[in-house]
Amino acid sequence: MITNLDSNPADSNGDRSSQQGVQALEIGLELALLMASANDAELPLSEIARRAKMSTSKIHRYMVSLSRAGIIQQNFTTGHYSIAPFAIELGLMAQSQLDPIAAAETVIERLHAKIRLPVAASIWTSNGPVIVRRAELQYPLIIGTAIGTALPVATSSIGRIFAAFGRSDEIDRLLDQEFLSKSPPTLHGQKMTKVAFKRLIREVREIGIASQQGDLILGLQAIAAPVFDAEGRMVMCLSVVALDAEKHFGPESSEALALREASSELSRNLGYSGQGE
Amino acid sequence: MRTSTTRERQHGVQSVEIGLHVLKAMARFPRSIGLGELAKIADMPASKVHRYLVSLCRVGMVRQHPQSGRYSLSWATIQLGAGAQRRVPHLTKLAPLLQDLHRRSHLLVAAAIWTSRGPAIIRRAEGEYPQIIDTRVGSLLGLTSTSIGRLFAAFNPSALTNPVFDVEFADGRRPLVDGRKMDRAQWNEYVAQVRAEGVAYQQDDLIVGLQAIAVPVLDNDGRILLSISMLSLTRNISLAAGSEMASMLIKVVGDFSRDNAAA
Repeated sequence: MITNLDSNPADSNGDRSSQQGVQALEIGLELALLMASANDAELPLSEIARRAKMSTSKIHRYMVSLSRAGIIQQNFTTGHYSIAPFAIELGLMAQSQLDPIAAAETVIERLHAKIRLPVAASIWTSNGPVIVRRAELQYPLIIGTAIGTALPVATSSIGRIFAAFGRSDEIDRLLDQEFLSKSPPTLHGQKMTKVAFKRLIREVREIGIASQQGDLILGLQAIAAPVFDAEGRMVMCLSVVALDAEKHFGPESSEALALREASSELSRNLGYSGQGE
Repeated sequence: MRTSTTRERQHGVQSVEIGLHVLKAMARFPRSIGLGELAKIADMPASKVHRYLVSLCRVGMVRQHPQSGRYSLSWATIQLGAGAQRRVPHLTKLAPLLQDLHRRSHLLVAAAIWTSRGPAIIRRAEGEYPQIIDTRVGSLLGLTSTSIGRLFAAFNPSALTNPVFDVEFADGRRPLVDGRKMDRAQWNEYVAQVRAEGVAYQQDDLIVGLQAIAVPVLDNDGRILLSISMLSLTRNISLAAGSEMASMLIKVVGDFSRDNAAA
């Protein structure tokens, strides 16, 4: 990520040519991000230089300009550097400019183009998970529920992802209803107990993917993965469906891998840094 | 020799500072901005701004919208802010506080900090469904029309709040509090009252039917670090002074202040 330009003599011209001007900015920003993601409260110049694989004199110049911009601050006692509080404000403005559904749309279109299967993005509502966007133009058959319908928690792969990674209090309420209903949930065609469901959810948490085969609609299978926001909360679910006859996708399939990548990418686009609540 | 070193330092400094100047200009807009508009605000030629935007996009601090071609701040900027938040003790402990308050009240609970442009939401715990009203992390709040704004107006030094006040009331409008339009003197009096009580309220001034209460998290010197507030749309739950919810909020946040606020 940080390219070692210490040995590049052209760099000393600074802003003269567009190439160099751009590059110096990127280096400075990467340094700021390195500092932001560091686990240390503050870092001495030498350590920053070591991690960035750059000379201390060069790092110092960057620290000077990053400080002037208000992104970095220096501890007067220790002389060490850290991200400045002003960065909080910038981060908040970035969050307010975010449109999660639009971000999801971009990602699912790309995933759909890659795997040629219907892809959906869902959010949580008081009635359960609801699909808000779908990408399925290249697929001749429209499968699954229409936008706006709530899906069951226990028998849909989307519902299972929310059960595994979402807010438990609301989910429990809906699960109770589903288990008490006239057609209680099944797992692999057999009636599912609550104990079995909890076990399933534990597995989903470990694997990071939920799958479902025939439990929602016979002949339909689906896989789903969670999407997290900047605060480490699960905010959306991405899912892929297919008919049983065409393929079998378990958690190790190429579709599952593509789904994982897409949901990781979307999480990152929402500011998720891998640190949960 | 000193001249060339200074020039080198200036050049290395310059593009980082210019790039961040562009980024900061973008941060002033609620949504996206076009290249021409941004060039005007940043006071730079569009071609130069574009070069910097390319770099900002490469690093992930800015993104360009595929359809409109407009630019917004992006995920790396969020991560920069998140990294800064991790170093502030009272911010890292916010999540459990808000969850606790939400559990006790079932209301929308929000935490806000002061920014150079006024109070902004930093974190929230959603209210009970149906969720008719919600806040967005990062959104700026009116200084006089919200309980959060009023709390900061009361506790921040006037040097910080006056510029924001002036911007908000540049067109000569007047603050509305408890249904009364106030002049500057009346507003100052109201704010002093809020300071004395240590709590800010808001009812029907923003939207009829919406009531809110805001309580400060203070550091050891009595400076406000955060505003913690609850919002309610229902008259069934009162947030007014002396109510059960108000007392609960004051107590819980008071404890949090004592346990967590940095010296």
